[in-house]
Amino acid sequence: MNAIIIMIAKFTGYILEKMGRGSSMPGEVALRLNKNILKYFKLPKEIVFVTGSNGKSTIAHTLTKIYREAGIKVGHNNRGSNITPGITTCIIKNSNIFGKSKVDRFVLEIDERYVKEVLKYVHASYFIITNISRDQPPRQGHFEFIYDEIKKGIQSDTHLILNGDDPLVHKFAIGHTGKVNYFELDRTSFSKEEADIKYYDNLDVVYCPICSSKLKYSFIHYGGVGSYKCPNNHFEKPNELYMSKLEDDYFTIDNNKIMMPNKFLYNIYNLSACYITAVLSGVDKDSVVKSLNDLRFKRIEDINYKGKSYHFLLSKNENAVSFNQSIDFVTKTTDSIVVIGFERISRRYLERDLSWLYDVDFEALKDKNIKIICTGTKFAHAIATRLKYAELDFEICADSSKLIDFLDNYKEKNVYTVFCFELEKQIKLDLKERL
Amino acid sequence: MKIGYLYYDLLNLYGDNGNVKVLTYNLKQLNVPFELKLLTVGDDIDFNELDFVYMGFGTENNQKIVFNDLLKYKDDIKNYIESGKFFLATGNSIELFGKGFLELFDYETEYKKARFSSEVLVEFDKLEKPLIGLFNQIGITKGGNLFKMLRGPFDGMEGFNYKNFYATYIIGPILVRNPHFLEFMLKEITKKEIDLDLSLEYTAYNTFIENIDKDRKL
Repeated sequence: MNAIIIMIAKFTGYILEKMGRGSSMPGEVALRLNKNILKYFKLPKEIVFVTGSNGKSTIAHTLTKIYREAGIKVGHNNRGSNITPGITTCIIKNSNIFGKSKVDRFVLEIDERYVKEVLKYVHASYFIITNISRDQPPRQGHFEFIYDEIKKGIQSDTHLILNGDDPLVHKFAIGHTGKVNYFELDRTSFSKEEADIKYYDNLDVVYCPICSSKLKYSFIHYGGVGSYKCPNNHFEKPNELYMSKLEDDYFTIDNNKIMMPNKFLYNIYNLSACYITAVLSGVDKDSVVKSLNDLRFKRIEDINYKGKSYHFLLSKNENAVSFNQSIDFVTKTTDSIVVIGFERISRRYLERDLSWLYDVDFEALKDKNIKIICTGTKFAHAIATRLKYAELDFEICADSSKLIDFLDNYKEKNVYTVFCFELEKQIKLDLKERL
Repeated sequence: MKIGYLYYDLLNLYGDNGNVKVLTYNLKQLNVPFELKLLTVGDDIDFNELDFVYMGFGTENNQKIVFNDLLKYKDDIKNYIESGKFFLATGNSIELFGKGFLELFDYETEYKKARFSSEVLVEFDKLEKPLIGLFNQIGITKGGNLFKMLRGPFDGMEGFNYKNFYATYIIGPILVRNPHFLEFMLKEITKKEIDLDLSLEYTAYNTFIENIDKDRKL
């Protein structure tokens, strides 16, 4: 029976592919016919899951690349669907009709809220957790709720690869009986030192998960990520084997030099997570380093128009970490204009709450000699209000279709856009049509 | 005047600190001298010296830590509220003053099985225009009297008011999103006419209201 279901699902996938549409339909079909279908597969021993609010796609893509370049056959849900039907689709595609895998390993990106559903049937040999941050409040509840949701799914013998600088992720190690390793970043010249940490820096976990004493931070990289310590020594940044160190345009890990594909600090975490997982799961170190240094994707795409360079910093709405990373990036540039805006908040739901803007550190743009513009028909004034309370100067171009002409008024040569997917697409299209 | 931002590090889930930013910024514009005190667990909170207290939204875990710390201040808080001083509580910190917690008031929290989240539109009888906000909670307050629900997940009254104690389940920067409510609060606190340029805030508010039916059925 299950063989027939898989045949039907595979056929559905085949038809859709012929029509040029990749989707999670095969998985949906299979799950509709047998909701426990995942139990049926004879999966390989090595299965890596990746979850967290930020960076899971980057990590899953990069790790897949490392494995493939080391000659390992990998199944990976790279079509963007990271919930149960998407993962089921990936497994169906990489198995024969009797459920036997055609690949050596799987690297599966998984949405935080689907961990417990999928891990009920699939054994994770490695589980990478990037971070858990304030993310999509109408959908995600809050970060402790997401923590609990992930925790419910974690199997006791899984080898956890955790962000040691994020206390909420580190917390998964408490009471875990399987192995644990951490990716960490040492203090950098950009670190915000203890004396400069403000009350609105919104450290998500500020109390020790064991004794509830306030954690002392000696520095933070961004958000609540940094070096923390419980005053009673229960809990602190692990400071273990795989400590990454930022140098000029590269970082070091395990005595290896890894070039940075772009200047985003969080990339060090992503690439370090890949390095550690790949090495621990048996890939030769030299091969891992070579793959990481060959990375060519996820660069910022620049477009030049009328003497200005447009740099697109994709920033996810309702995710303060994603915004903070972009703002942090902009503060390190010169001769710049930053445009902040969106035309809609989410593709997933219709709530138009902007509370999260107050969790973003726009204050970091103060005294930076960077011009600021707000855009978005429905939201420009709400964004401007937020900037007013950060005591910043700005201009408003509410109609985003007029943005490019509006920018003619400025002499600055670099335009950094802090946009969500749709507005970024719209402005790129607009620019390309003019070229 | 002294503003106490209570448990600023534990109750700050979704932009709650925006309420403090907007309050202090506008007091400065109004030339009202103030001092902002950031207070949390382990601090010795002296309610006698405070004139305005703000508490925001926290995770259930942090709410527990706060409740354990608040217990020793029960009488102080009671005297503070009775003396007519200002208190604004947003999000689930409303629960802390009702039954099952400090029991300063008679309202009760009924917990649902699952967390729910919803955009809301409420009516405040002292203001002509409605207030906008977001809910993200597990509990529902029974016996509220502050806002009348116009659109949202349930009907009836929401939030609680007694003298100058105001509590609502609405999360985030309610004072920013509702400039008329900010003006009302500032007027109550300073006992002065408020003359502020809140044109950005009003445009943002009006844009939201204009689009309320376009994007969705609330």
